[in-house]
Amino acid sequence: MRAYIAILKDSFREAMASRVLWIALIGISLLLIALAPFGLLYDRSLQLRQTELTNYEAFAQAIRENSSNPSTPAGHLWSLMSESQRKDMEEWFSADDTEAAGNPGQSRKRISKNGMTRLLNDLITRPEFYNEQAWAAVKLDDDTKLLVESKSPTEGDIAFRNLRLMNAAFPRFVSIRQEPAISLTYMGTSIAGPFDAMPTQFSQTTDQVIITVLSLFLGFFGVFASLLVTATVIPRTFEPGEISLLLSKPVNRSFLFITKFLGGCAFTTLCAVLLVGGVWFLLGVRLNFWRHELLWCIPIYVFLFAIYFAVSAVSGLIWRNAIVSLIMVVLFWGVLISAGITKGFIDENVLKASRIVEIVPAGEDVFVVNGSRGVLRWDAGAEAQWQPVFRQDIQGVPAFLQRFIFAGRRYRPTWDPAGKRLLAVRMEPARTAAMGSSTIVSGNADGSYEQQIEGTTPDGVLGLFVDTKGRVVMPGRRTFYQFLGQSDQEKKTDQFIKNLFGGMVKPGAKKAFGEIYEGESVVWSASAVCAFDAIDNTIVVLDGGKLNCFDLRDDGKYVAGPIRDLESEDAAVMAVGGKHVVVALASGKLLAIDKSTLETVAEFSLAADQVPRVLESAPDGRLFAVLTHQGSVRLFSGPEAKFVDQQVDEEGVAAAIAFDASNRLLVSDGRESLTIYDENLNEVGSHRVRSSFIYYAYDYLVNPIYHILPRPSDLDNAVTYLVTGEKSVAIGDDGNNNNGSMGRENLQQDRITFDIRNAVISNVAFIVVVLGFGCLYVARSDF
Amino acid sequence: MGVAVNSSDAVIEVTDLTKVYRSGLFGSKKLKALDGVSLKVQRGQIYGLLGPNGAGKTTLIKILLGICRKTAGHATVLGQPAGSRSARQEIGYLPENHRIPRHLTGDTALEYYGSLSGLSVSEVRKRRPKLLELVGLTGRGRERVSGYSKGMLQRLGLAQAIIHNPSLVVLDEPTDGVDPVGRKEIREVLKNLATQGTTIFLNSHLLQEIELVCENVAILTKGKVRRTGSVRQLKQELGDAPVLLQLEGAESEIRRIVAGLSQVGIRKSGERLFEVEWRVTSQKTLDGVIDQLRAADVSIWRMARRELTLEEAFLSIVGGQD
Repeated sequence: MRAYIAILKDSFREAMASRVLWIALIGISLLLIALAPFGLLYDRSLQLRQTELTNYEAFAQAIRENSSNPSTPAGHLWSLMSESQRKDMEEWFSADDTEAAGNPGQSRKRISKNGMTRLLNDLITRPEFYNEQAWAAVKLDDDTKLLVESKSPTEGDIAFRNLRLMNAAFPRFVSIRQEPAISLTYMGTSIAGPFDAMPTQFSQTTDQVIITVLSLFLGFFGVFASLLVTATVIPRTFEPGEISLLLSKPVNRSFLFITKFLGGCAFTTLCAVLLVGGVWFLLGVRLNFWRHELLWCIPIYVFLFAIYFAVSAVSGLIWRNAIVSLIMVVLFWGVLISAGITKGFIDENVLKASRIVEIVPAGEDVFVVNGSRGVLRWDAGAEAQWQPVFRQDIQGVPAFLQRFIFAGRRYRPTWDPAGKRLLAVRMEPARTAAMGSSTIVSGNADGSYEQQIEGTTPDGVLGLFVDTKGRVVMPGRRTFYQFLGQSDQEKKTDQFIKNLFGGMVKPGAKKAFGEIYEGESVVWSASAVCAFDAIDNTIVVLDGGKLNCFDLRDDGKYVAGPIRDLESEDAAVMAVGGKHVVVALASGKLLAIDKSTLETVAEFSLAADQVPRVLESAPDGRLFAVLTHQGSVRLFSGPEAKFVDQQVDEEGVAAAIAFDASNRLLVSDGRESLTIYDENLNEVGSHRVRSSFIYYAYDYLVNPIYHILPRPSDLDNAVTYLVTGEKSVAIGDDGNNNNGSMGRENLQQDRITFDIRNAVISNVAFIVVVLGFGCLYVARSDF
Repeated sequence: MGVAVNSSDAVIEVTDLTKVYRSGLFGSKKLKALDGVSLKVQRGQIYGLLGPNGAGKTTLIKILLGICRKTAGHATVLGQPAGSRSARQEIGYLPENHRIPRHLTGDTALEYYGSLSGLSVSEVRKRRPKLLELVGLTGRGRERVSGYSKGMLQRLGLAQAIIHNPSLVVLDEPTDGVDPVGRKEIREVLKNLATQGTTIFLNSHLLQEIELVCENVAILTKGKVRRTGSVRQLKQELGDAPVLLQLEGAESEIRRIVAGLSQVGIRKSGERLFEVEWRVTSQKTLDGVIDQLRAADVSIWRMARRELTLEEAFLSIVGGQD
C-alpha cells in the first residue's frame, strides 16, 4: 500500500509542479475574489411582491365593482387611479358582444398580474392612500395604527404603512409576508433591487446561478483544462526509461496503472476543491446560505473528469502519445454526442411525438391524442391503425414544435354522446398575461370529425364536461357555463349576413354560453384544477389548497357545497366519482376523500421519484387510476376505500389512462398501442399498432448503444438535484405560470426526470470496463 | 560453460531461457531475442554481462526483473521465480537511459523510489544523506532533477537502486555519461557493496569497466550464451601472452631471423629501429631467437611480455562465432 500512496502523493506533487494548475488556481482565486464583495441587503419590504398578490383578478374586480363607492378601501383605490389605469381596468371587464355570442378570433386588452402589481405599487407610494373614512370599517393592528398616526412619515414609512393597510383591507386578495426585501450589494453598495422575490425564491435563483457557474467553470473549462494537462501522465509513465524503473519495484502492474489514473485526477480535484469550496464558503459567509450539499459537487466533477480521463489513460497506455490520447478523447466525446443526438432526435421527433398521451373513449370508438397534440381515431379495418381526425391548423406554430409549445396544457377532447361529437377547448399559443377566454371546437361523425369552431368562452375554462342530461358544462374562472351553441341553421344565417355585407355588419348576438352558477362570486386562480362526477354531475374545484364541491340543483344550476382546506398548496391533479374525491399532490401524496363529508378516508405516498400527472375515475366511481410522469399507474378501489397493489402490464411505461363508459380501464403502452382492462385488471381488449422500422432501429440499435455508452452530461442533472433537491424539471411553457402561488407547478406539463441512479451506474460501469481493459493490457504487455 | 556452483548459492539461475518477440498483424512476425540461455550468478559476485548490440542482454535483464515475460525456460532470482514481487523486493535496478520524473528533486526522487521499494518516508530520510554522499551528490538533493547533468542522473539512479539495501543490484550501463573520476567512485561503491555480500549484475559496453570490477562474465551473442567464466579464464583461453621486442640493427638481418617464426608481427619505428610482437610457443625457441639476434649484432633495447585484455578475449570469442 505504501508504494501506491507514494504514487498518489507523487501525482499531487506533479500537479503542483504544473504551471497550468497554478494558472487555473490563480484564475479561480481571482474569480472568488471578484465574487467575494457581493452581498445581500435585507430591509423592510416597501413594495408589493407578485407572490403576495394571491388573487389579482378578484382584487381588480373588487376595485371596479366599488368604483362608485369611495368610502370603501376598494372604492378609494379606484379614486386614486389615473384615467388610463381606470380605462385599462374597464376594458378588462367590458363584455364584448361578439364574445358573448361565441364568435371566435376576438381579443381584448387584459390586465396581467405584473400590471396589477405595478398599479398597486404605484398607489402604495401615495401619501393619500390612507383615507380615514374608507378604512373606518377595517380593523387595524396596533403597529399599523401607530404608522397611520405618525406626524411626519418618511417616504419609506408611507409605503410600509400603505402595504399594511392594504393587507388589512384585502385579506382575500393579498397576503403581505413578513419576509424582508432583498437587494444585491457589492462592497456594501446596493447595485440591484429590492427584488420582487421572496428570500426562498431568491435562494432558488441563487441555486441556478451556482449550477451554471459550476457547470461552466468545472464541468466544461475545468474538465477540458484537466484533460490537456493530464494527457501526458500515462504516456510519460509508460515511456521505457520510466516504466522499467517502476516495474522493477515490487508493485502490481494493474494497481500501478489504476493508481496513476487516480493520481491523474489530482489536478481536477485541486481545482474543484478550490472553486466549489470557495463558492460554498462565500455563500455561507457573505449570503448566509450554508449549502453543505454543494460540497458533493467536488466528487461529482472529479467523476465527470474521470470518465474522459479513462479514455485518455487507456489511449495513452496503448499508443504512448499524449496527442493521440487527446484525439481519442475528442472522438469519444463525438461518439457520445452523436449517440445522444440520435437518440434525442428519435425520442423527441418520433417516439414522444407519436405516443399516445390522452385517451378519449367514445362509445364503440376510441380517440387518442398523441404527443404532437394530434387527435387520432382507431380504425379497426385491415390496417388496424390510428387515423388522424379533428385536425387543427395552428398558424405560426410548426407541427414539430407543438409538443413543446403546448407542453404545459392538457389537450383532451371530450366525447359528447348525445351530439355524437368531439368537443375541445382549442389549443392556442401561450399568453404571456392572464389565462383568457377559450375557443370551443367540435367535430362530429357526420363531418368526418373535421374541426369546427363553436364559440369563444367569456372567460378561461377549467374543464369541459358533458353531464347526465347531455349538457356541455364548463367550469370557468369566475362562474360555470353551459355551452348552448348554435344550430347549423343559425350558423348559416350568420354567415350569410356576414358575406352579404362584407363583414361590415355583425350578426345579431346570441348568447352561446349560459351561466349555470348561483351563489357568492368566485374567481379561481389559473392553477385551479377541476373534476366532474359523471354520475351525479358534481363539480369539484381545487384551488390554493381548498377543495370546493358544487352540487347540481334540480333547476340545472350549480350551488356551492362543502369546502375543505387540504392545508397544502402543492400543485395537484384530481378526479371525482362515486363516493370519493381522489387528489394526487405534487409531493407524491395521494388522498382519498369522502365526497359528502370531505374527510380523508385513505392516504398513500408514491415512490420518492414519482410525480403524478393524470388522475382518472371510472364513471361508477369503483376504481380510480393515478398516472405518474414516470409511467407508473396506481389504483384506488372505491368500494374498499383503499389504494390497491395491483399493477397493469404497462407499469413504468404507461403514458395515458382513461375509463370508458363501461368502467373499463384503457392504458397506453408509452407508444401507439393501448390495452383495455376490466375492473379486476384482466385484459379484455387492445388496440395494437405494428411496430415500424424506426421503432426496431431504436429498440435494437440506438437505445442499446446509448445505454452502453456513458452519459457524462447526466451528471449535471445530479448537480441540479443536489443543489435544488429536484428530481425532475418541467419543460416548455406551462401557460399557467401566472398563478401567484410560490412553489406550485403545473403537473400536466411534460417533465424531464433525472435518471441520476442509472446515469451514475452507467458512468461507473464504463469507467470500470475501460480501466479493466487497461489493466489487462498492462498485465499482459512487455515493456 | 559456466563455473559449477552450488545451486543454493545461486542468486540468479537461468536455464534454457527463450524469449520470442511477436509483432505485426496477429503477431505473425517473430524475433527470437533469447535462445536457450543458461547461466548462474553466485551470491556476492560482481557479474558482467557482455555482448554486442542486439545480443539480448537487456531482454535477459528485463525477464529477470519481470518487465518482460519469458517464452520458455526457467529463471529464478534469489530463489524466487524471476519477476515475482518477492524477488523484486530484494532487487535494485538502474536501467539504461532511465528517466526520473522531472518535477522531482534528488531528495523527493529518493523518497518516491524508496517508498516504491517498501521503505517508509522516515526510513528514506534517515538513509538519504549517507546515500547521497556515497554517490557524490552531497548538497544537491534539493535541486530539481531537471537541472541534473547526465552523470548526476546516473549517480541518483544508482542511489535509488541501492536505497533499500537490496541483495541483488542490476545495473545497465551505470557509468554512461559519468566522468573518469565518477567512474572510479562508482567502481568503489560497487566493490564495497560486493564486500558486504550484495550481488551485482552488470551490463556495460565498456569492457575495461567490466574487466576492472567483474570477477565473472557471460558473453551473449544473438541470444545465446557463448562463454561464461572468470575474466582470467577467458583471457587464458586466448593462449600465451605475446612478447614485445624493441630492436636496433640491420633490417635485413632482423627480417631474416624472424622470417622463420610463426604468429609474429614486425613494424619499423625509426632508423634501424623495429618493434616485433611474437606469440612465443616455448622458452627454448625464444632463447634461440635471442641468440640469433645477438649473433647478427642486433641490439635488444626492450623485451616484455604483454598481458591479454578482456576486449581481446571478447572480440576473439565474438569474432569466432561470426
